[in-house]
Amino acid sequence: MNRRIFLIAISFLLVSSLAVFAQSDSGQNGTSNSPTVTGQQGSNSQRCSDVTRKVGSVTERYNQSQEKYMNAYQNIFQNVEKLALKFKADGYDTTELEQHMAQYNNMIQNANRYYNEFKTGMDNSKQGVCGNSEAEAQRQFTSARTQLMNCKNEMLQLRTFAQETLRQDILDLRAQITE
Amino acid sequence: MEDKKKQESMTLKESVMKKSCPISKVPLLFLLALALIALVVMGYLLIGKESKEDDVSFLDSIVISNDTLLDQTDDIEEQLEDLPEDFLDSEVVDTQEIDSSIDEIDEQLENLDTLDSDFSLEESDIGL
Repeated sequence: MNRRIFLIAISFLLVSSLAVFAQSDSGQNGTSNSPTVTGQQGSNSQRCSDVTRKVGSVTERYNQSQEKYMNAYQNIFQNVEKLALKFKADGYDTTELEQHMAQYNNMIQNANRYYNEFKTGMDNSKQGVCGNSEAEAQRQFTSARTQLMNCKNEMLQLRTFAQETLRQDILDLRAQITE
Repeated sequence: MEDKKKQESMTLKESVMKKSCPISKVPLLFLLALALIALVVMGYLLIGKESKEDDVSFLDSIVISNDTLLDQTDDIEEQLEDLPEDFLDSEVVDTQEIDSSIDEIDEQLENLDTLDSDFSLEESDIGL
């Protein structure tokens, strides 16, 4: 009888310890998921903050350059416009100069448009990273790079246009005066 | 008798004067008109020339101003350079760290300002 009670007690202890072990194991598994998720969230948040900073500093640097160059091109346009108005009023032929000025002004607007699209692309790219949409972020970034290159090429063309075409028009006008 | 002679000579002079006056006034007026026209033409030419010179110098000043403005756009290539492909994944460069390093270097350089006087040795310094 005593032996029977002893066996029952032993089996009860075994079953209960197994139950406790199983419970503790499942508890451990349940809590081990939580830090992983938090860690991933933390890393995403860190990446978002890093990209936000990088985009901010790069955009600011490009803004300064773009403003400097576009001011120069805009001032050139204003100079030539002043000259064309004066000489047109004096009776000189400014037709060609006016046509080229319209072309030049159009190029200025293109360069500004490309630059704004670059900024939008960078901003969208940042939002993609922060919104966990990696593919969209990369797509927007590639588009921003393309627009930046378009803007740079347009600015280089503006420079050549002012150096060659507009300058030649002014020299032609000078020849008209000294004739 | 003498009075009569005087009267005759006077009337003769008057008649001569009367006859000669219209003849001498015509060329004088003509010359004056010519001189006036010449003055006007000269004035017009001078003003025109001056105005042309002003126009040319205005054009030249615009060309110079545009050249100066274009000089400011020399470094487009470098300043609008392409972003690296891995820009989104690249490490963040902390500009604050760079700024503080530059400040530190400046401070160290300031300490070197007295280097020349600190290491100068005069004969009087050693009693010679």
